[in-house]
Amino acid sequence: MNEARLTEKLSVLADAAKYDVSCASSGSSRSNHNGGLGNASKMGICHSYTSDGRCVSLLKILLTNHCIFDCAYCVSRRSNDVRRAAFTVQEVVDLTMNFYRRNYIEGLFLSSGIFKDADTTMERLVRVAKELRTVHKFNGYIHLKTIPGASEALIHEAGLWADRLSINIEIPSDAELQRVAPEKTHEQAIKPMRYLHKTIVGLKEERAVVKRAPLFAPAGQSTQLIVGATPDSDHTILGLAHGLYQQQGLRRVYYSGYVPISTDVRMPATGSTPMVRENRLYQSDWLLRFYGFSVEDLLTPEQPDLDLDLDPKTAYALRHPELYPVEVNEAPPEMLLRVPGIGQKSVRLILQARRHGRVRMEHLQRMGVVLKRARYFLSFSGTAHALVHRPDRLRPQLIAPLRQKAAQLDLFA
Amino acid sequence: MRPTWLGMNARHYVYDGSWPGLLTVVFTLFNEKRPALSVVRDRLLVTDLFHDIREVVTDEASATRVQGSARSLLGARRMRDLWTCHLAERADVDRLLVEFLTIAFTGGGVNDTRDVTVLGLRQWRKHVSHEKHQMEAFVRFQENTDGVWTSTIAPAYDVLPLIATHFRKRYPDMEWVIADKLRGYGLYHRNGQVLPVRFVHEKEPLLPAPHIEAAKNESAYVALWKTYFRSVDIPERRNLKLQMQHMPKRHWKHMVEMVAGG
Repeated sequence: MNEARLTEKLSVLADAAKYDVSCASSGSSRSNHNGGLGNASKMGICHSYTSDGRCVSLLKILLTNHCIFDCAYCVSRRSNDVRRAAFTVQEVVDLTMNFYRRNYIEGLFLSSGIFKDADTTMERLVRVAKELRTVHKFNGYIHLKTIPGASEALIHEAGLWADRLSINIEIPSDAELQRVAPEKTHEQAIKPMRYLHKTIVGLKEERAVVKRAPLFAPAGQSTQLIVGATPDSDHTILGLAHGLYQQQGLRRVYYSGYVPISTDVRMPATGSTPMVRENRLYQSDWLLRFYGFSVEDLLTPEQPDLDLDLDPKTAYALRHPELYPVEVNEAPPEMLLRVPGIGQKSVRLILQARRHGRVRMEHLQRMGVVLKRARYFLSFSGTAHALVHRPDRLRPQLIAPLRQKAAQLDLFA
Repeated sequence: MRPTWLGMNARHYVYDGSWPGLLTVVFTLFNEKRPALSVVRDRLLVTDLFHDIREVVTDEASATRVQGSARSLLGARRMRDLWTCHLAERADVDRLLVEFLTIAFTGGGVNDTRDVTVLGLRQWRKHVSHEKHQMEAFVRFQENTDGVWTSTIAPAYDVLPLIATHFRKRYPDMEWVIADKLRGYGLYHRNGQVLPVRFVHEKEPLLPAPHIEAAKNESAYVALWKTYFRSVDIPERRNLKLQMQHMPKRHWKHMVEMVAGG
């Protein structure tokens, strides 16, 4: 092993891959059936955390950062003057196996610049996965990037070896994408997504009947949207995400706050996208997927951006005073879920408790309900907070504790 | 403790800290109709002069009876949850467990999520499971010249019995040892069998035999992992508080990427 060369490549190709925020190693189910190495745990595991508090779960690297494209938002774009490097298939396999054996990682997330054409790049990614699975009996998690424009045969083969496949849409509207990445369109990303979705659904149905039908991308597909690099509104972003969940059956949409890494003139001269916005988008995404909210509940064309001062559920509650208070001892679960500070676990606990008697405020506190938000929107056997129908006066109350917290954080920063 | 239970009749129970031991406490408590003020593992912890102390000797037959009837009331999954809580090795948890089994055997609401005991144990199950999950994540193996992969941990709770299955399924082709430095024992795996092992040197459990050392490429892979770890950081977003919240500092000395040097 040439350690010095490998170190150089690893630092270049890990650094270039880190702006892809997807880190999940969950949602798969691959058991160790061949006495080889590893398995994919349903829950996913974060093996370490970087100094910015992000999870390190997978060995996330590019095969190469040589790229024939020139997308303004990307560090690896052709016209950018950065160090270039490329791994061999064997090097990636060795690193993955050896990191995995030491329990450093859950698996591999392999992406790449397009170094010659789409098919050549995709073929190389597939070869890494195939070698890990067949030669080395590796059953850990593999996430491969789908390269837009690659042939369906190659994309299909990728699905046979990988747990998850992803293709990044990056720029939320087609018009903006054309401006910053003239060589790309949304359709190029959606087309392979559609193919994979069809195949995943098809093979799943087959597996239900024929147990030995092959695993095909058991952890599904994901994508990433860059936030704040273009003037696209939160309404555009969430609308797109919602469509992707509905039509392409995506497991996850990731939102990546734009870090101004680029000095390309096509990019806005703004500072970093506030972390809060990224956070609010994730909260909204969660409400869409698990809390029965629709995009229209959260945003409208007239009010196209999320409130940065309040979480989206609290903001919703303040816009709809007519729906509150929600009676703890009577309300159906879907209404309890619309109360700020009450999550799915709390709802389950409340329903269980109701079978035994009246539920009071102190019980909720013990269950872990966030009362500093929930108490304004609930009633207990008919008794509600005095301000429940005064959103104008509630708003400052709900923001104030957050402001204080922020001020304290500043003090210690 | 439930106020209705208390009175001069109540006393302190001392037991050996084992799960059958705790079940024997429950057996004794019902048999002799004397409720528990506290349940401790060391007699010296009881400083109360006004109540009796009962030292319970673990009895497998009584424990099995309690286990059997509790399982038929609560189900296997709930029993596993209680056993998980017990691995916290804390007197307050032991008391909650005895209280909870008392509720179960007297026909009380074991699913009443308004109850302090029910919710308290729920919390503790979460704490212990969380520690288990973290240990599955933070174990770092080192390869040695004798072909054995070794790792040292210092978990807050006695989670080795909980993580054995995970590592057996994940690394079936490796011979490995995970040593709990605080409790002086470990797990040893070979060919799909996991055995508990005690260590001669409790303070330095993995002190190797003189002729054994780290395998040839070990330091290179540690260095490469550190390189990787440094490269994926985004310094503009530094948030050490968040990092420590996810990865408590007490684990750092056993994680190669958090140890200085290289």
